[in-house]
Amino acid sequence: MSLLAALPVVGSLTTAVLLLVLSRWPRIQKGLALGSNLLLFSIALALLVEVREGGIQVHHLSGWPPPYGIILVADLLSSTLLTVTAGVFLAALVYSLGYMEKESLRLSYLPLFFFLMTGVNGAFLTGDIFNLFVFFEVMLLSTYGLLITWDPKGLISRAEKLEATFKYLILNIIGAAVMLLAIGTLYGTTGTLNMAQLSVRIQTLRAAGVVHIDLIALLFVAVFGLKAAAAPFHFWLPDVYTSAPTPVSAILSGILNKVGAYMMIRLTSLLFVGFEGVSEVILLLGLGTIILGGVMAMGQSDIKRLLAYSSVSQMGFLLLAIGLASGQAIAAAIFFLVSHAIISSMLFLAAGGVTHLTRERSIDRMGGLAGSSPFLAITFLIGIMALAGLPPLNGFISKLLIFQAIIDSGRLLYVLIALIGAFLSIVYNFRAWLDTFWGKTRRTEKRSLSLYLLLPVGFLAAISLLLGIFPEPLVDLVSQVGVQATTPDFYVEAVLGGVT
Amino acid sequence: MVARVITNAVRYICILFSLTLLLAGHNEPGGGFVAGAMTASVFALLYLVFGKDYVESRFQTDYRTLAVSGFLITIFFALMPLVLGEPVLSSILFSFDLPQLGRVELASAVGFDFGIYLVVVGSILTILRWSAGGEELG
Repeated sequence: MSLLAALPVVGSLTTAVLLLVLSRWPRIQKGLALGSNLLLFSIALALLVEVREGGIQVHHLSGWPPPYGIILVADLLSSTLLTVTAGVFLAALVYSLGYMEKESLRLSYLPLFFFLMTGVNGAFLTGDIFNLFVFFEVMLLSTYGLLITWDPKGLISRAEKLEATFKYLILNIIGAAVMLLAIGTLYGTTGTLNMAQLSVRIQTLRAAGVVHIDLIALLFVAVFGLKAAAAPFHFWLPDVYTSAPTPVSAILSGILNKVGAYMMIRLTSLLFVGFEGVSEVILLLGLGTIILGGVMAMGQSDIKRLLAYSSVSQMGFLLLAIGLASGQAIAAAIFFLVSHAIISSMLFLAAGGVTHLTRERSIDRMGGLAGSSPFLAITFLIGIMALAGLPPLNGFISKLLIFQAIIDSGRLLYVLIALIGAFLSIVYNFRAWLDTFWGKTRRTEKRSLSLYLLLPVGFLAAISLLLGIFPEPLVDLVSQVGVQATTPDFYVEAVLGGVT
Repeated sequence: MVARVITNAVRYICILFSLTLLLAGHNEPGGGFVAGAMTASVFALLYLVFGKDYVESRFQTDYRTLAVSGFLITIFFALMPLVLGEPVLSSILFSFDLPQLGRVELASAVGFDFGIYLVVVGSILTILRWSAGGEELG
């Protein structure tokens, strides 16, 4: 029983409500938002340390013992992701304070921001699959609100914004219906919603020859594939990322995608362990996503749309590692997940800086920015080098680990396809950088970026560089995560303690 | 005319029934959400039948504040057990003797439900008013 496991959810929810109360006092509101985001970051770190030293932490809400009550479970996987979430949210929050329009920031943006955090933290922590559905809804409802928040300076037309949000809304309603169907069938089959108990019972039922469990697993893959934007379900993503306010795009590609990926990890390594068919489907989704995202990114000229497709393509690598489902592959997946969260949110924030300076979204009409803003040029270069997987950045190590895992599994054709994807990512990423920062100077307007916009970009770029040069602590951590996440017995033992 | 008479008759019954649901919630069917939805529907009916000006001349409540204070109450009752050394969201049973009435038991779940009730009423009415009135958010 641990209180620490409940704090990330309770803390962010309380903050969201207090921010609503304080909407009349913008200064206090901003201070509270920053303070409590910092606090949540330290709570996440403390939780990570606690879990690493003292094992999996479980909190029983209202004291009901599992499998009857709802539980929050913090294992190494979820506490690592909580820490990354709090970090990326912190960067996006600081950026928003300088970027968003004052009125919408005060009235809806800040409270929704923390409701979104509540949803994400809850989804990472919950040990109950229906509760996961609830947290997904909390997350999505706040995302809808954040998506339609009015961008300053009107770079994005209202029609474009509404179209993207509507698409996202409809798709996610369908997704929620499918998820409910899957959860309902699963409950009807196994009689439990507790994830630890599900893990045990699914194995028993499968051994007894119950066939439709495979189908339920595929339904879940479709739902989480939609969230993670895997290949056939990716089409909502470019519109949404392009039309969202910059800090929100950063969170969407840095964190919300990863919630889908996190649940895929739970599917292959906790709930549906040893389902080769399901893993094979995830692998194929991954391959399709890598190629499709890469090819589409080649043809884009809108800077945010290009980043959006590149983020689709990178999710493919993640799915590839998740589909392999070995301890080593999951460790690689977590490393990739952490570094991509940092890189992609940094790139989106930097791209927001670029459009802020040039009033332009198309890279064909930009050029020569390196002269007027060397800081953006350098951080953007760090970002794309990391995304393309070049040393000495964290992206290099994450790709290396993933390729190692695929080679060890003996699937050489997959290695080839992934290599093509990696090559594509070098081409389109550098094209974006060259077109934007190199060449003839197109715009000569003198504008400068405030510290609010530069600080988060610099912070994330520095972390990306640090993790590239000194990867050992993170590699150690993720290999522990890999071992713990792929051994369901640890989770089951911690949650149920012998009761099955 | 018919609508006005029926609304007048129905509103008290509905509100009383929703209060019953609210108080019965923690050990019988009902609870804060259902009760809140019911109360909000009564208000929606009043808005439809009597119009905005009439309703707002009688209740000068900021629904947004209502929702927010409901949220605060909910969180207070969710976290209160922590102070008493119980897990988050536990229901704590207070019992005390009142003159004339004898022994009364009060669960903290009632407070929690009341918070939810306010949140539901407040947010439904806020949404209704914003989408109907075209007012600036404030």
